[in-house]
Amino acid sequence: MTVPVDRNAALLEAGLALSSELSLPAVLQRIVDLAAGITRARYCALGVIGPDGLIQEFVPHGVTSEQRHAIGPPPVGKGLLGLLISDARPYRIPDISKDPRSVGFPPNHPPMRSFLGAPVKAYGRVFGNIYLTEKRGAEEFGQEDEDALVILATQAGVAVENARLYAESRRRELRLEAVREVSTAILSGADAERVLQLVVDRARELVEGDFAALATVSEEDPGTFVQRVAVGAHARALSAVPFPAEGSISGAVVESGQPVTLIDASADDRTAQPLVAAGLFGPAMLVPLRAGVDGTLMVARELRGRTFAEDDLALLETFAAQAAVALEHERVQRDLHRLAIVADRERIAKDLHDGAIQALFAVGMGLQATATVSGDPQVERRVAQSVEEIDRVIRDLRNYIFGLRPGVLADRQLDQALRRIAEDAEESTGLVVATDIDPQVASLLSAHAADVVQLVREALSNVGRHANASTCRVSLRRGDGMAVLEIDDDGGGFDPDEAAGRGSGLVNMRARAESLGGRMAIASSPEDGTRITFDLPL
Amino acid sequence: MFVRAVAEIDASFREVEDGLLRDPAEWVPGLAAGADDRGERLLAEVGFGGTAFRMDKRVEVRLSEPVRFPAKVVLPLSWRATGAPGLFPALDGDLELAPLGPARTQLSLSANYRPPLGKLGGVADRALLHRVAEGTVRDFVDRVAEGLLRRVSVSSEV
Repeated sequence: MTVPVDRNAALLEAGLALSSELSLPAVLQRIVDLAAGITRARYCALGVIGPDGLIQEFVPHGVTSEQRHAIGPPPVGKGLLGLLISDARPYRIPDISKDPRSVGFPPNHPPMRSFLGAPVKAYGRVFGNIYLTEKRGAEEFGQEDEDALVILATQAGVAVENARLYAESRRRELRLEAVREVSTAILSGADAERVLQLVVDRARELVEGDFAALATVSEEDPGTFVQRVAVGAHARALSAVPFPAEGSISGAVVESGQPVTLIDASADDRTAQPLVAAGLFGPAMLVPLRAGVDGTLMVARELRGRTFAEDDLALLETFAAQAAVALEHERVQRDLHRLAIVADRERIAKDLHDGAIQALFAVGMGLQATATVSGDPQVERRVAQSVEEIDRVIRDLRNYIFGLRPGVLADRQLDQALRRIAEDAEESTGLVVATDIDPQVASLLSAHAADVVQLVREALSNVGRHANASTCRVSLRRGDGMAVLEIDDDGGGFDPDEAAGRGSGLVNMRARAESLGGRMAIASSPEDGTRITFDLPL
Repeated sequence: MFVRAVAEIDASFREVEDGLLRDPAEWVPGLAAGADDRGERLLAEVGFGGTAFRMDKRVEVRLSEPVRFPAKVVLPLSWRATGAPGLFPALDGDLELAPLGPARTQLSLSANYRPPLGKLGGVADRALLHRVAEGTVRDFVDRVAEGLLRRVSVSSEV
């Protein structure tokens, strides 16, 4: 190959530009300018093709910006420009207009006659083309021009490949960084919502999606998905919609465990998926979460957007696996928290046993001994009442500590337990206590049996201590869809407002009833005694 | 009302604890039969007195899950008379084992009992029923201690 000295200098400069310029557009522009200068071409242009084989980047020389604007969109690689790619070798053509492979020029295009083109390639791969037109001072381009252009085209190829490798390296670096960022968030104990937000954000950014979301199967309704996080275009509208597993892509993905890639989501018939029903998205990917978590991570591009590549899918699967780990981590944390509560209760229970019960037991034994030696029947009776009270407190504590239900319930149904409490009240107070218990209603209240027992016990205790009554009735029946529990007596009555300020018994009963979703009402008069009514939901 | 009885067993805490927690049938005195197929409720004879004069009553004994403390183990226990209670109280308490040394263990039963005969029982208790309760609990603890020691001895021979 014979190249003039000035050409050698120019080619050397092109080589230096490769090593000194980091920006690919700047390198390509320099190569185009040099090519035009070396070959004395009026016009020169370089096109870089994308994954679809069409020219994606176009770097011209010799055409003003006004001319470019007038011409319109740059060429995509048809005719002679396409030939340089499909048949990757140099072409020299004296007159473009006479070549049958030419597709002509668009309106407002400057006239061009002579043509010299070469593929831009390196390492055996074609990255685009470079071409010259309108040789100054000659009818057509010569062999020396072609030799110089081939060298420049090769340098351009190297530049493009380097830039691609750099971009790929940078992309991988960003992906690794994102994966590391999510892993750090999980390991640092960030709450699941924050991790999921991070996963969805990064997934959308790194696969260059317009919309991304993560949906999981609802804990309350396993047939329904809820979108935990949604970001990007139309995210607000799409995130608010729970959707059924049946008839949705997420449902199919979870069931099969396989990812789904769509070229046009708007054309899919699984319209239960909000992404599909919106009709706003084209290419889409949905991948299953793993590690036993039912859900999907999805990314989509708007209509007519670029289709996703294979490595986009692989990245999305990586993020999905991380999201699953975050959700599993959250579940384990919840379990640990529950265990901690159980352990704490165990500790409290043991403290109560070793402390409170032992102390109360000692007090009870001491009081019993006091009663025995007092010799005064009145003192003896009062001490006995105190001992019974301590006895009751110890029973309640033991029931709590040993995880038993209230003692009276230990081997009984609620209706039996209420009758037993009534019998106990008769024994301990001398009252006549009648019971009228509907076993069906009692059965329906069994989940709250311990609370119902406490309500009745407290109410009867009040009657025994304060009402000065001779008879009392405990009834449980159904009324207006509620369970109606009543304790009424024929005592002297009391002023509920005044009584509420004296002690915590009535307050506790009201609070207990309200904690069950019910309410307490008191009717009391000196003539009619007292009636406490609890309306409890069934 | 409260009652407490204590006995000492000449065996290590670990051995006695092992016996207490394994099979109640091996140490519940006067065991008649299991009241349910899970073995949590047992029919047993409790009472007091010696060989010349002894009063017994069949009761349903109910055992709950044991609770381990750093230096003791507690087995919640209750009994109720089957049929007419007579003089025998219903009782809820803790059967408790604690080490007294490397080869000695304390067994105690601290219990709350409900005197029979209702209101009358409450009054009569101070004269008679408390003695019945004390005697019954004392007898029960002694016999449990014997049962546990017997079991430890049999295990050692094996």
